[in-house]
Amino acid sequence: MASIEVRQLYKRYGRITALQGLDFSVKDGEFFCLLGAPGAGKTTTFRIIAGLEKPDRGEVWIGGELMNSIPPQRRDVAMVFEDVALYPHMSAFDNIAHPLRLRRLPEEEIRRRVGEIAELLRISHLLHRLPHTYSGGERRRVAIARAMVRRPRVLLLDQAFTDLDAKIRQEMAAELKRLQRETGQTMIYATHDFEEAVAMADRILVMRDGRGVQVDEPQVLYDRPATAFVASFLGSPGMNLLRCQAIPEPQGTRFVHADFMLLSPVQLGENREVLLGIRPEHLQILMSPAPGSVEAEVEIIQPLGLERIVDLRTGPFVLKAIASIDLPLQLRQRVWLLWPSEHLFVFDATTEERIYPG
Amino acid sequence: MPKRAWTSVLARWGIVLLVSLITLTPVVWVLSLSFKPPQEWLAYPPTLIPRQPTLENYLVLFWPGNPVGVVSEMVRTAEPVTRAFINSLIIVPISTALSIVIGFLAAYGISRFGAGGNFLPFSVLTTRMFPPIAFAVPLLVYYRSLGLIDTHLGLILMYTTFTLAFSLWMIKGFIDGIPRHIEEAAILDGASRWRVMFTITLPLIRGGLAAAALFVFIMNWTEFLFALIFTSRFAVTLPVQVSRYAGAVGRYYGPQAALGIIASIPVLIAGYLIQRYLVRAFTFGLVK
Amino acid sequence: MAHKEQVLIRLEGITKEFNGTIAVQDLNLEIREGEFLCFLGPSGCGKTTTLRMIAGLERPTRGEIYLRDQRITDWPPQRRNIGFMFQNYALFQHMSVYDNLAFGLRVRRVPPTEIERRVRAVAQALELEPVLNLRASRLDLSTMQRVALARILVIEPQVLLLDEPLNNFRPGLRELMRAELKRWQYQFGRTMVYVTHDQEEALTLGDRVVVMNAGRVEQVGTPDEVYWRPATLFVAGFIGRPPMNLIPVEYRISEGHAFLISPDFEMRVDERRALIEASSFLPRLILGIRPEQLLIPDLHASSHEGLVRIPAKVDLVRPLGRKLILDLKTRSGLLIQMVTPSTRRFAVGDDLEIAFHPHQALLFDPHTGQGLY
Repeated sequence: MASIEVRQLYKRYGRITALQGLDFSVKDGEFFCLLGAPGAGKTTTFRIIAGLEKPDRGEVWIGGELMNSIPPQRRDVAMVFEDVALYPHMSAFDNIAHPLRLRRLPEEEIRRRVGEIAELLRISHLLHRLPHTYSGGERRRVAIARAMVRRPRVLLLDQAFTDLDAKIRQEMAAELKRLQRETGQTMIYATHDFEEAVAMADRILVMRDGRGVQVDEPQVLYDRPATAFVASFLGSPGMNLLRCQAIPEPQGTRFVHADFMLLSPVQLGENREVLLGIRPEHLQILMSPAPGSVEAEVEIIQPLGLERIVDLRTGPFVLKAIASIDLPLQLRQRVWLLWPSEHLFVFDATTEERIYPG
Repeated sequence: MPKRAWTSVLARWGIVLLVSLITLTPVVWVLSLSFKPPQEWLAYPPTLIPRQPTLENYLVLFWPGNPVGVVSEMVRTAEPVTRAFINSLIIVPISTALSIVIGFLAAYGISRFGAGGNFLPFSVLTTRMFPPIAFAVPLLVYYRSLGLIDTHLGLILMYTTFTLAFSLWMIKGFIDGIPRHIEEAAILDGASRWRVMFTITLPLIRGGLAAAALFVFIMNWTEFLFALIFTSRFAVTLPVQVSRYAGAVGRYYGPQAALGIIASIPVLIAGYLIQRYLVRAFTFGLVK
Repeated sequence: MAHKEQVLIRLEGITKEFNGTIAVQDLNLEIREGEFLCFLGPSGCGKTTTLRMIAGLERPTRGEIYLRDQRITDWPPQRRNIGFMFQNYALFQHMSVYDNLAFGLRVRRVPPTEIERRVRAVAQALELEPVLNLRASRLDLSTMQRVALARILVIEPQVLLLDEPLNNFRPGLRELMRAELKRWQYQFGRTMVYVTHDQEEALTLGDRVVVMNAGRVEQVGTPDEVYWRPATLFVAGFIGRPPMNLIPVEYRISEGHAFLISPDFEMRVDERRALIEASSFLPRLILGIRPEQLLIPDLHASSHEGLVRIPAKVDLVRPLGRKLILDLKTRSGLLIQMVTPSTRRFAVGDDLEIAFHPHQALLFDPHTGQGLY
């Protein structure tokens, strides 16, 4: 087990920039998540930590040791790939035993350790079958077993569950989290699915265009997003963001775009272009007009248990709101939206950084 | 419905029969010819089953001096086929193995490290871009000065070189089909590149290698032009030997047919041995 | 939408076998005029096969298909006037968008002026006019989807069949395209039959949902029915994220009262006795309760009387932003999932008491899998 430190990583592939000054550190025994859209640089970061790729610039430290010149075989890093990469010609037992055999452990010890990890991941019944007979979830388990069996200092999981069914994905996430807690294994998981990230991570680094945007605990990222990107990326659905002009008024600010207009007591000071943000659960749907409300039309209703996600068109925007199933809503119905000012966010339109609340 | 099914079954069988007839006729013909006495070789109307079957065509291949029958009389001067047979059995497997081994290593380098850039894989193909006869004269000059004419080594080198392009491209296709991640996983497990190559990559493309080896083997086994030009006595191979059964009055079809049958046996055996790997090669795609 | 209740397509006792394996078994279904019907189920449940049979791309082994009371089981696909949108859209990459749209009409020998008119009209409705002269291979995914839809609409089909058309989209775009589809449905008012394995998609788009599993229909109902009154254990476990908690319980009569007993709680069910006793596998039953129906009772609130309470320990916390999913372990080792607002913080290992209203619990026969309603 060990801590990891990544300092100022840069990497280009020809004309494509994969990483531009990525910094982060992972504590010993932590479950860390890289969260970002495809192409944000997650896989490249992993390949550099593992030593499969050399950075153009920057350093990777594992357990207080500089790794840049150490070959992948000697870094003691394990990785579970997106496509799992089991050896198709070997049984699960041989797959899992492979790293131990390379280390010339006695066969008895190998059998014991493979047996233990198989038990832990509930794959004992697969040990003598070939990979093509496994289900998607089973393939993941075997791959994780193979990666963990030699107790590496760091385990990297590159979107290891992405192509599984939502339900199995959720089960696997819960199980991996439990496993991590029980073994204290330092893990970094990369994903573009925020639900997967929050299910497992102690801390999440949100990545965009090869850089870290914000790193924190999941709930903090949700409650206080540093940029509009983080706000829209975390949440299901993410935060509504409306590009509009913020015009200062004596009582607050007027947000205007085309025929959309909202007056709010929020104080911003100067006239500027902003992204006005509000979470779907904070938009209140009213059946009749009220002071400060904005008219909208119901476009889509998505049932979600006790709640519904409602798409509302207002002026040039389509907003998402969460409504209780007790609220009698119809498609194409006219409603009014209230925007509680204590839940408003304002981001700068160009830098996308948060300007309100400060 | 049942009536339609009946006619379609009939039609299907008819087509199968016709195709088998077309493809099998030459084989059957050669087989039958190899048991015919000289007067039946070109008889008209031809006979499918020899009227007077004889083993003479076969015997004469091995004991050309043996004074029994008409055929022996005709081909008294020829060398026994044993030498050519042994030559082929030395030259062809060795050059095939070399071609596959070198082809695999080269293909691995090209596929995984982009060795030689874009140019190398294509430059290898140049050996196949010209008619082989275009190489014959310059090679003859080289071979003469190196003393490689009419030697096993000479043909082995030549066959290895000329089939390399083929094995390289074929094996490269199989290696490209194996996800890089499988190898990288093994590297992270702690295995060296060489070890990964031999314990992970090689077993995974075994079927492909077998297929490539079989094709190269057949190409080499039946190669005639270079063997004819670069051998005279000592290193003669089977295809050249076949051509020797000809005299002033014409070809000795009987012994040629007999030799054809004998020469096909090693190929059949090789094909049979390799068959199960071939099946693996074509079903491997199912395993992701 | 006027004749919404009229049956457009009827499937009667449809069975489809492929080399001895049964893909669809004894399926009976009515598709109504103008509705959006979603087939939902895990891969291999027979939903795509059913769609292909409706389209005429597969012939049922047994059973009949009717279109407005006309038997069409043996009709070839071209004759059925049905639009089929393939998963990968199957656009003709080498043709312009215009030619892609006109293709179906040309095949049907529609006069050229009529073709021109209809292509333009559909292109306008789907905002495809700017790309009409582009090659199909140069379009982005969302435009491709619109072209694929336009190509079907232009032949004015009786019904549109869509086979997982949103599969190739990345998550964010997928939701957008889903909204588009729903918009088109009310714009064009056509009957749509839609196949998906994504329950959110099915519940959002469908007027009715057909849940399939292993070649059989498990339930046909509105999204609400399927969610709140699942007909079978399969539906209960399949629909909902996280899915319904399914807890094994035992039925017992004691001192004249009927009880459901589990190692972690007991619950009185006098009013449901008749239903329960019709079950085939007594005394064993499965109790189902949705994760969002579980709550953490407030000791003093009067509304919390009569709750069934379960002591449990927090095993995993998933902060989804506005909500949390808690994985809880009961004393007997049972795993229960619960959804709760994220106003309160939880830590792994916390002891909790969770509870539910007994009337919200659903009961299932573990042997037949049927819900006891």
